[in-house]
Amino acid sequence: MKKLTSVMLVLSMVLTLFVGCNGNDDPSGSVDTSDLYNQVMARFTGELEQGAVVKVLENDTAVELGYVEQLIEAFNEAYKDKGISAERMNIDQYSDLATDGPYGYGPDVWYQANDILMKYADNRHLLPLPVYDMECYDQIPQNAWDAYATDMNGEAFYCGIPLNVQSGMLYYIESMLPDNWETKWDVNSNGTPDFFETYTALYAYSELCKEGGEKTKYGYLDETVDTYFMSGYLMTYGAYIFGDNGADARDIGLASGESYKGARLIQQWAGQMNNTEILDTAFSSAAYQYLANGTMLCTITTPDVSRMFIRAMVSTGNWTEEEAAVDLKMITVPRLPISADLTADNWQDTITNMDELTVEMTMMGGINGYGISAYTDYPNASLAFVEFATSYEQAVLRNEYLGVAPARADAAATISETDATVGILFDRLDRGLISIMPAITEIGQLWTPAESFLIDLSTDPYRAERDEELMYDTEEKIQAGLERLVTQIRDAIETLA
Amino acid sequence: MKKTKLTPRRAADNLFTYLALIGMSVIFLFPCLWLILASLSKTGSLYDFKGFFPQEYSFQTFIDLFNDDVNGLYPYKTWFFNTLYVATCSAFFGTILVLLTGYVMSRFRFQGRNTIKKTTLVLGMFPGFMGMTAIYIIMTQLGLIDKLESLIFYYSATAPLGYMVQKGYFDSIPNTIFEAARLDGATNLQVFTKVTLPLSKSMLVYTVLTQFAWPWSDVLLPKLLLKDRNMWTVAVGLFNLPETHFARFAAGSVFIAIPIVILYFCLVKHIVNGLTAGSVKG
Amino acid sequence: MKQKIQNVGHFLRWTPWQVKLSMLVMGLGQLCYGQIVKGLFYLACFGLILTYFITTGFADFIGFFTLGTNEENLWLGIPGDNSLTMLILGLFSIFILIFTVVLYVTNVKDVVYTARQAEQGKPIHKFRQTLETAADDKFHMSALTVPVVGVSIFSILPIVFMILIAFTDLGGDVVYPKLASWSFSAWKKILSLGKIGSTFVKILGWNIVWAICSTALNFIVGLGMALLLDKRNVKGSKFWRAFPILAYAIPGFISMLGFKYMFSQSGPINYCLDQAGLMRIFFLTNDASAKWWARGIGLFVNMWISAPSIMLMATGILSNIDTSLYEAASLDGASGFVQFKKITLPFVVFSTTPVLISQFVGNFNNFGIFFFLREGVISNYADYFLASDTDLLINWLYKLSVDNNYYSIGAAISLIIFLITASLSLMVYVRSAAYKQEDTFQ
Repeated sequence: MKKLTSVMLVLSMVLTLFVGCNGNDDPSGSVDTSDLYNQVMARFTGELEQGAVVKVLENDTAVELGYVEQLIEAFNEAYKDKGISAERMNIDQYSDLATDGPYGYGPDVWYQANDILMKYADNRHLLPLPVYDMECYDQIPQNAWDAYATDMNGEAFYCGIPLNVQSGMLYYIESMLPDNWETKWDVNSNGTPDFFETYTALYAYSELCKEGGEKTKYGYLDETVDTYFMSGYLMTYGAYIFGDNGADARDIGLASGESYKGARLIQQWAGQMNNTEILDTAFSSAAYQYLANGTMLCTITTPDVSRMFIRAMVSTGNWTEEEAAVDLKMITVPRLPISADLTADNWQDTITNMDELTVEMTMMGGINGYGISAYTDYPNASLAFVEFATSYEQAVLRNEYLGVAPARADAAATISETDATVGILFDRLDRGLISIMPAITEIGQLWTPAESFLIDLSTDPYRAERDEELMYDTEEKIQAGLERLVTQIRDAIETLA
Repeated sequence: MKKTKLTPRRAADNLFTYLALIGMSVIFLFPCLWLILASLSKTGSLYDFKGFFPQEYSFQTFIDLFNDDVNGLYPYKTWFFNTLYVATCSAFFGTILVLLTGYVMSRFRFQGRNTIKKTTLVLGMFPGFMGMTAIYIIMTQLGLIDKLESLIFYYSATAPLGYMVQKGYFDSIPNTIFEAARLDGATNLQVFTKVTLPLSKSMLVYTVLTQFAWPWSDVLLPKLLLKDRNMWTVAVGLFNLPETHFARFAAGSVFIAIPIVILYFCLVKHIVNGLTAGSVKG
Repeated sequence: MKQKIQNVGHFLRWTPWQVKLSMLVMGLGQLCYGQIVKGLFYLACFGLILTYFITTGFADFIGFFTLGTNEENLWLGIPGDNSLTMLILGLFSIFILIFTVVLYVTNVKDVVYTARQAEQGKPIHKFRQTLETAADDKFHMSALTVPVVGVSIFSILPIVFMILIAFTDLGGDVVYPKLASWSFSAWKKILSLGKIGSTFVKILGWNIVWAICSTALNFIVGLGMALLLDKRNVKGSKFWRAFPILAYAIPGFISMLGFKYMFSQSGPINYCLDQAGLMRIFFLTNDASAKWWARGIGLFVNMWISAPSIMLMATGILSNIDTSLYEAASLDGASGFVQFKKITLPFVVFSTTPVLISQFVGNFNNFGIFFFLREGVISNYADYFLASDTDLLINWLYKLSVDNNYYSIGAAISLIIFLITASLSLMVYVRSAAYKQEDTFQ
């Protein structure tokens, strides 16, 4: 009897081994997954936890405009027979997952920008996701996936699903364009005003506005101290933030290449604008009113705030909501002069000889997406929600409600049939003209030193007026300033390590 | 009554005095007035003003404050009642505790009294929010995160630390009253409830008022302990309003400021007594 | 020492068996004497404490010293320890230990008292008498129980916790799920590293200047207003008084945020300057020229918020001054100013010294003013490390601990702040007349 039992035991063990081996065959068959990967993904069995209520934390604008309500209802409808549901978490959109999560007060699923989500991924507060099996995997470009990549034991894991791509776009109101722009400002007759095509032309037009007589008081106004948008100037001329595609924090490239040229351009703009309000980051809140009431013709900001512009336009009383939605336009950012001087070339030449005299502007961008908290009790239900929310239908709906560009090729293609800007953004992402914000925690040390530098840089034109000493009047000084900035960031990273 | 002669010197003095008074009033009134104007702005954005004055006026923001919570993002009505609840409960418990402490420290001499005195002084010198991480963890262990009771506990439990003012007041009541009561056979408890409290109306009012007013302006602690927007107090909610909703912020502030200001005005006499009690009478 | 041992031995020999029972198991002795309620109470406490220690208390106590042994790996599903929680739970277990000792001692003392009563043939106190004693003889004890416990848990425990954190290496890289350990790394960083040290010195300098200036300014303005309203030629002083009270009643952060918007780059004041053809001024923005503007505005706003309360207090104190003193002085030919200097001022200063000291400490640690006025501003231009040029030590502390998770350095700095303020104020307080006279007063 004893012998029989032991033989049965051995047999059953051997049998399980076989079964186990067979089970290890990768179902998708397309990607070779390592043992580590399988171990980490073990929790995603595909079996939905019955009675699970997935807590979803979304961003405030999406809530305000009703998109989230629609998403939750649609999900609950679709999964009503499967025993799971979702609900929106009504907390601050910037939950501190590291302190709240362990005690159970964090969300299960979180939609945010990649730099914020990845801050938590470093310390494993977010779960790595089985992306190779997801239906959206092929639809999203690799550089978008890279925004959510983190490394464990030399292997790349993705802690978020990219959903939207954000980068700066130029906003303007069509009815504020000068009446004669088709004759005076369309040298290459392509239906686009020239001052939106190159920065040199925009500079020339802004100078004209200052003389008076145009519909708006200023041409282009923007806060020149915002690191997110102004870094584009530096990056177009050879700078980068962190080396190795944003992964190596020891290699800070803000002073590399000819980035001082970009810095000089920023200074030129600051001087041209002649308005000290641009030296304060609070300008971004004022921008909506200023565009709507004709203070400025155009400004650069991200597509997700288009509703704020529309609201401001409606509040002036000159547009209804429908009229405002039609009149507000977005276009890709102008091209920068290779000479790195906005006054050097004749603006007409930059239009006719566009490829020789100008270069497309690289801008910093972010990828917003969904992550799953490592403290969730319902990983499978959460994954089901994330798959639902990043599906083609939801991506298109999100654009309808909020105007944000999807990171999925199929959704982008559909939407760009009606809305060209989405196509533009996606195209720029694909071509690498959008430099995605690095996802490592050290990025947090970039912002304040950079802002200080930009403030000093931009204030120089005003110092001349106040008879103060100029800080950055020569190229050498600018380069030195940039190098000092790099040192400051490096010091901050090292001190806090 | 002898009428004082209006000499040039007196006239100059009068002029100067009234100028100073007017200057003082303008400085103190003006920002409040600005906030009120801002709350009546039609567009709701700070950048739409002509200087200090909105372009157009309307009461819409006030109505919106209560009716439109922007899909659950800014439920002002809920915040208001939350804060009312916290303020009332912590005023009740906190007053009892701090009055008891002040009374005991004033009337009794016992072992450990000096320790308590010195410890209180020392505790008051620590930066207030230093213990916040600890409070957060304590509250998680007690399961009180995201519940208003956590605030009530905290405010009531730390109220006794401010006993010096109450003690000063009780110090000023002559000993003879207490001795007489004890001679009549009253227990210490009875002395407190039947003799001391009736005599301390000013101090009672002052204590209740200060305890009541604090939760309306405390931002940091509730921000840490309360997670869900529907659990927030008014202070946290107003602090979290983005700049683009400036009129809402102004309207919300005006709305809670009005009752507090009225309360303060009605109870000024008691406040003065309370504040003076914290000082030493020479 | 030998005498003490002899005393203890004598004590053990003399006491009846009930006392020895209580020394073993709290409450048994009282039960044997017939004090049912009290005995049960002590027994219940004993039971609870024992359960606590057996279930989590002992483990927590050990955890206090190790601060966690297993690092958690959520991805691989390996559960582990959270250093912060272990620190505080360990601390809590120590508190309970202390509390147990105290309770134990009261238990023994109580039983000894009852034993003596029994020995002398006096009736043993039943629960009713215990209640009466609590309300009468021991009123101070019973009244202070809840406050003391409350303050211990919510005030002393957190502060001790933060002091302890200054001696760990929590922060930066070492955050949950990584485990922390006891070390002096935070102190080393402050005292050695150029950046942090130099920023500390700069901020400390400004902090002291700020505390002195703001306290003085508030006091002078408040006293000035009180005197102004007290003048004989002021009619309707209650009306004029309403305006400062208005400012006083409005919750502080609202006033501060309001002023922030007012002085912002696109705000009303700059708008008016613009309309008048002048250049906009950087009041509160992140620019070198804003340094003294922001400091000045901070002083002004702080005055706006705090001077009214000083005014009210001064009003009350002034009314306590004997007017006959003034009459006598003017009879002697003293001018108004001399009267002020020799009678009013000393009296007011004497009366308000304790309040002034607490105002000084409060202003030194006035977190709110620069937090709300200049949120998010960091002055890299002058090599401040994670601080703005108007930040007080406490603001810097907040930026380090909360914004950057740099707990141990933040805790170490707060210890330093505390040492400075405590020694400063104790020095002044002990020398002040008020303290010296306190016990002779009653």
